[in-house]
Amino acid sequence: MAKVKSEHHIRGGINKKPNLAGVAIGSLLIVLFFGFPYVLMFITSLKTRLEVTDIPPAYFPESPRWSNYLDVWSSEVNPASALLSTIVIAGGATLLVLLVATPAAYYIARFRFPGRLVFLLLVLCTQMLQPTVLGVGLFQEFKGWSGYAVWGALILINGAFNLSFAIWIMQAFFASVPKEVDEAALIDGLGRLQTMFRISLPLVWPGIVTAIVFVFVNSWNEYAAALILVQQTNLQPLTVAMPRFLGLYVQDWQYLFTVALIAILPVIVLFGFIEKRLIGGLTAGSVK
Amino acid sequence: MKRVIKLSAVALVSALALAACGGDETPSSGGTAAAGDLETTIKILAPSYGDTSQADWDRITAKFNETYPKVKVELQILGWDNFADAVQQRIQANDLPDILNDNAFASSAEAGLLYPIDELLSDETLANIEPGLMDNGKGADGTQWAAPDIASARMLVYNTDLFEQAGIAEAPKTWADMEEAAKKLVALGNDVKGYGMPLGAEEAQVESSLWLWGAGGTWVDGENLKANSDAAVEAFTQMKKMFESGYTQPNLEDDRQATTDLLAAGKLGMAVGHGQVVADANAKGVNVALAPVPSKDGSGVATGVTDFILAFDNKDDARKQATAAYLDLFYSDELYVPWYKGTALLPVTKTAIEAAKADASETDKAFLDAMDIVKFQPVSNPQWDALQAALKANAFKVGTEDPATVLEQIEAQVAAQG
Amino acid sequence: MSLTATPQMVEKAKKRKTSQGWETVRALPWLLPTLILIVAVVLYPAGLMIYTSFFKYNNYGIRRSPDPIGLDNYIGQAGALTFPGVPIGRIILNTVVWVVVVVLVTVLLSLLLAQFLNKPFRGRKLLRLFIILPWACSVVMTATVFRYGLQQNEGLFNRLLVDTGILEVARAWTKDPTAAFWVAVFVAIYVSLPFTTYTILAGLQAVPTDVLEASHVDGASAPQRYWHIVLPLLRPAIAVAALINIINVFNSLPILRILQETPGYHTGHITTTLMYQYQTALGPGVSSALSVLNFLFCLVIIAIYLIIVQPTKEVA
Repeated sequence: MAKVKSEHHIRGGINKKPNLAGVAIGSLLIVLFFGFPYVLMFITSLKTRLEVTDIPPAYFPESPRWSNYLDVWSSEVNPASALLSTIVIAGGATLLVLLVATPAAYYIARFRFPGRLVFLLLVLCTQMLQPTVLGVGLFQEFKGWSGYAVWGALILINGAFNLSFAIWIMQAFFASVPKEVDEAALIDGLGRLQTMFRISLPLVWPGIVTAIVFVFVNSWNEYAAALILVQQTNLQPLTVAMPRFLGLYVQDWQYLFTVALIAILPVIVLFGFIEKRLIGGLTAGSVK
Repeated sequence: MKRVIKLSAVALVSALALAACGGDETPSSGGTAAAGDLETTIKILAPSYGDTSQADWDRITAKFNETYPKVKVELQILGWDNFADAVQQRIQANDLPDILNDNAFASSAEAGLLYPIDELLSDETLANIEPGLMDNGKGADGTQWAAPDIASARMLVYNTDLFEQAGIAEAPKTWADMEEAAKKLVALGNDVKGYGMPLGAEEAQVESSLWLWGAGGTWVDGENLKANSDAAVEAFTQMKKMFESGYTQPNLEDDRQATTDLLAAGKLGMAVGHGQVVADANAKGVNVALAPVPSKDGSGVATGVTDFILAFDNKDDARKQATAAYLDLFYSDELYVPWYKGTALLPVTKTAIEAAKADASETDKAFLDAMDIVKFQPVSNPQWDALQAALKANAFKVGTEDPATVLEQIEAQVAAQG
Repeated sequence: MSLTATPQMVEKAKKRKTSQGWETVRALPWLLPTLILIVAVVLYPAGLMIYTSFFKYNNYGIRRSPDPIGLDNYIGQAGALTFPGVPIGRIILNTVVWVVVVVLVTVLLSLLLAQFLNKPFRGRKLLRLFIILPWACSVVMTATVFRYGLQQNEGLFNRLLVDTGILEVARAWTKDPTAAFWVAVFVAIYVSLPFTTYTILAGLQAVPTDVLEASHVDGASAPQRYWHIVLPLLRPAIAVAALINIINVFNSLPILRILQETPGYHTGHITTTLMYQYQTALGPGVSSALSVLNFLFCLVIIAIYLIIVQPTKEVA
């Protein structure tokens, strides 16, 4: 991967202002394409339980039931605690992956040593195994982790199953930072670890952001391991708690979609925050 | 296996017997430790029946903890969708819930993982559970492995408005009546269908059992279950006829919910259903009534479903003692009645049934009365799991394939599992 | 190395070997946390799965045989490849089509999207947030809302298609294995786009502008610049994104499971959903056997990919 450059250069010269009509049409298409299922979710979340199964379905509820958005918090499923579980698990796993994967990715990008390729392939192999497939084994390993410890178990699991991507992508980005930058820092008396954190890391923000996003969202969505491991109803993350709206005889689709929409918000906020770093990382680290 | 239960008669007798032992049922301490000192953790795994499942269990736990303050109760409630997987993985990883609320027990019983439930429940509790329903929890060897905790009956729900429009005087009794009614209903036009036949992964086993019983047959063949009996072929042939004549909904792989929605929307004349179906249809202003499901000869059938309480043997006396006490409390009138009401299904204890009959709505009464003609699926046969899975996977094909071939396929899949 | 080794050469080789060993040891502190996590959380349960695949279980997960039963779970009477009524050939074909179509279309669309979102224009940050919706809103929920909208009677998407005249009558999309398969392909692409687009977007940030400017001055057209300069530089990002997508798509269970309402062993399965079907119908023994085969199958696909694309060229 090539050198990192400041955005000012991209703005000038070849990437001149794109034509307005093209941008408008493109934007509109993107909004429509990526928005339409969520519009249906939104409409449904404002219907009553009986309206949800109307035949034929109405485009809009007779009168929008905004109260669904309040009622759902006091419903049996308790979305607040489920949201908390999910945030703790996804946040924890992301942090764990950053701590574990960064040194590995850095070292692999910087040094050639015997077993390096083997290590990379081993990491890749782990990506091919998913909690869905390994449920029983995971369960036997972590069944003793009851109470809040189950969050720890899920952090470890989500961390382990998402390591692979983080290492691969981050090492690609580390490799794009010229060695000379590191060497200069080492001569200045910084240790390897310090060099990594203080010099290289700020230069590879896009890679780190991609890794964070990937791990966070995957952990946010994880279902298989949480289903079997979380034995206390009040500790269930969203993915396991939400299906409880669909009981055997009473199915509350409107609540299900209400919570699904609410759960988007924290992720969007995280992205909004990270988006800045993505650009910021670029301007900060211009290397000629 | 015919389990026709004469509920009303038994209930009457038992109501008299029970008058003597009314009042609060304190948990009987079967073990050694005193209630206040017993210190352990018991785990409960239960599915979500409705909006209040957790609260309903929590109420029992709170009461339990008044007597057993040092016993920690871990409750796990899951949606129905993956409930079976969760149970399976718990069993396989040898982390057995002390109390499991499920709709099957034969496999766990056969593997020796369960306490016979009569080892845990006190005599009073046992005596108060409706015997006809209790039998459903007996294994092939006669051991009482599980106790029912709720029951439901499925009957024919029909749209009286549509019946009137089509000029059908009364609910069909025989298969011939049913075809005629369906024909008239379809003739109404406006996308109205005659009969909802959900053969999807959710309820194929219930729907096919009803038709099989309607043909006078049964799955049971000596010690084994047989999918492709002559009666079954006859039943499936009739199902195919209904489909090919255009009397059913177009997709046989529909689940119960799909036909329920059609019925509640006034687009379907008849379907087999439970109480919630009636409630939902009424709420949408569609008038429905209940009748026995038509059979070939007109005698009528209905299917009963009971869910069970299973107690797993964790080789731990303290847990066993706590579990026993918890279950006795569970079945006590004070706590059981609100619990079963939360499920919107029917109770299983004699006292609760009596009380329900006294102040039941018309719908509930019809279901309670149907208990007389109700038949149960052979849940105690270990082969049932395999047959049920094969029915769920194949029954819908009857619409496009030869009935005998479909049943042979089902039989082959059951046989392959030994 | 020449065929006749002189003593000095042997000496040298030995020396290199020891120093190489030392290098590996030096790498350990950096790699150890990763290794521990992988061995404990991934490889241990994987070993258990292989072990499980050699014992007989019933569908409740209770072991029914004290001794291993050889390859019965693989090719026995009720084996993963031989269970009656399972169109296994078609399912394997489906799996290949599923992976190839989803990944290919995803990468192509993502290249387009990333290029567009990399342009400087007002509101692009907002737009970038918009495209992560399918991902932020959990794959399960996104698939669920598609299933709900595509119901024949209750589905609003169906009504919209009929009202706009695109369809004559509403279709039960999710109840026909083939139609449902292609709906699932669409949804799989849909939910893979955010991640892939972001990865490529991150790669685009690193394309040096001076090179592009130089070629611009030299008179290269936009497509030429893209093909000859941008694309080769994006290669590592695309290679990694495609690799991860192949694996994730291959193992993707929820999308097909939610959108396929036809029960049983129909012709719309891929090996991963078949595995799930076995898990409930036949128990963990057969299901584990198929998992093992599934893993090997995935390994083959990855090997083919590695040989063709050689993404390791950049890292090796």
